Amino acid sequence: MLFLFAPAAVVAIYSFNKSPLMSWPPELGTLHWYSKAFENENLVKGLKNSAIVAAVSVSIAVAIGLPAGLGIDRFDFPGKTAFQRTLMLPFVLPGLIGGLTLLTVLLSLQLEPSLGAVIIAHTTMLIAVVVIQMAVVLARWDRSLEEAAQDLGANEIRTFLYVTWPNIKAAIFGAALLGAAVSLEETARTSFVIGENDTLPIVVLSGLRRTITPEINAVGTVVLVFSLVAISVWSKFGAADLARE
Amino acid sequence: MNVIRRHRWLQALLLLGPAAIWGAFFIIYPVFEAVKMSMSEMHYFRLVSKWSTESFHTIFSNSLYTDALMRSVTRGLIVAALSVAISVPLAHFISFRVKRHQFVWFGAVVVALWLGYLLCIVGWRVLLGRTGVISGLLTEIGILSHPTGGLLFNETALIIVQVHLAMSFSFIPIFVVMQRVPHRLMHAAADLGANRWRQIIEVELPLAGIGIGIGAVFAFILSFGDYIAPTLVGDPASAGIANLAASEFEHGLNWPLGAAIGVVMIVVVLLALAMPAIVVGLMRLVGRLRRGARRPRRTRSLAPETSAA
Repeated sequence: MLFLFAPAAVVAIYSFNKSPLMSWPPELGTLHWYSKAFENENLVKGLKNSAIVAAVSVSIAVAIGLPAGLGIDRFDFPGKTAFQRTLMLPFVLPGLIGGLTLLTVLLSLQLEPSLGAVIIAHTTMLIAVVVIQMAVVLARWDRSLEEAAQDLGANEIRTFLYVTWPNIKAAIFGAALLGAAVSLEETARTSFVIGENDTLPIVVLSGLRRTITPEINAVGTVVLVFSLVAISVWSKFGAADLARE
Repeated sequence: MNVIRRHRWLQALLLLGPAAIWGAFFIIYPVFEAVKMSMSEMHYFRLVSKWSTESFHTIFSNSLYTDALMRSVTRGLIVAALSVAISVPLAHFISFRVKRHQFVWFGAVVVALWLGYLLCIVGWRVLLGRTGVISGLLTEIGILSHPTGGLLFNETALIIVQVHLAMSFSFIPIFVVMQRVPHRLMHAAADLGANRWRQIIEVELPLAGIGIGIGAVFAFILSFGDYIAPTLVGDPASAGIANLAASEFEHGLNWPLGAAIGVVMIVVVLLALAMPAIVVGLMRLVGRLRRGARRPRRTRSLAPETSAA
């Protein structure tokens, strides 16, 4: 457990360190690095770009993944397993493959790498997250409730809105938050297809190639708090289901 | 509306269509494009499409690439073995020893593991760096006479970081299958005189085998495809095949070669993904052959016979 928590703990601790050198023992008690991080133009721009990418990709991923999850659960068709596996592949394959193959498309179509390409890369991965989450939720959801609603005269849309949606919305919300957290720190795919507008992880990455400054720790701590919140919400709704399945 | 209600295939199309289109454009087509590019050649900084196996020939005949491929596979196997070796006891402990608040424990582990890729690397650099926590602590205790920078930028540091990163993918499937191991089977084994170790080795691990296999495969894939951690915490000189692929594109040197390395990596990853199924199939086959050899007449399993009776 110490092994698992140690890296995150030191990032958070050293973001309050007075000296710019991350030496032992830490001397705590300053918010200097946080204000410096927010004055750093690159970091702020990166955060803005990341927020745009996360918001857009999560929205598209839910808009495509949610119906797909319902359809996979409800219909049988030839090649269903292959279809399902293909959709989940981007989550399983290394980010390098996703980024590299998308870049070959850009190169052969002579398009410039851009935030749009980053959004496509993230969305492709997040659809897999949503579809997996849908499969988990729907597997334990009692279909007879839907049948009951339809026997009582509700059409498909009313059934979905009043019966299915209230039961799955927590899980979808959780998946969206998890997706936002994943998108916010996605690096492997992003660095292949990123253009001029760097996202936050790319700014941090190029900083890391030179040296670690405590500003990075401050940014890291902010992202850490966000992912902590996102993941605890997700695990409250989603992970418990996953384990119970 | 009525048309849609009457035809089920139309409903399926509406629900699944968008995902199918997205998948065709952004999952299948890019792989196709990568394969196509891997067979092209560069002439004066321009791509020329043709059916050429030049790039693949380079990869498999040049020791720079074969060595890097071997190194990545070996490192992947080590990372997979270590992350399973840590995940299994942890999952066992939470599943069988923790009586109350199991999900709090599970949640805590998941949270710790999903902190984020870069954040984890930053953290380990602070821990292992020259002025970092571990070197400072060791100096203070007196094990080291002065702080050392030797903890970072080597293979051990890289493996530690990759095991940490990989555990987020290997722990969850292992934990999920351990939850499914019925406690009463373990009790039954205990009643029949099996000690704790035999219960674990002969009852729990075979039942959890498939989850452990999947966890190991995920860990392997993460390490094998990682091109960022090797340059940030590992020894940059002995990075792996993934870094070679990335640098072909980053420096705009030889795109077809980079694409070809990507294609080779896809094949390796797909093989790794098929591994659990292959192993299970082989084990079934061996089991059937063995049973067949012992009792040539009665090869059928028990289930149909009891139902017939």
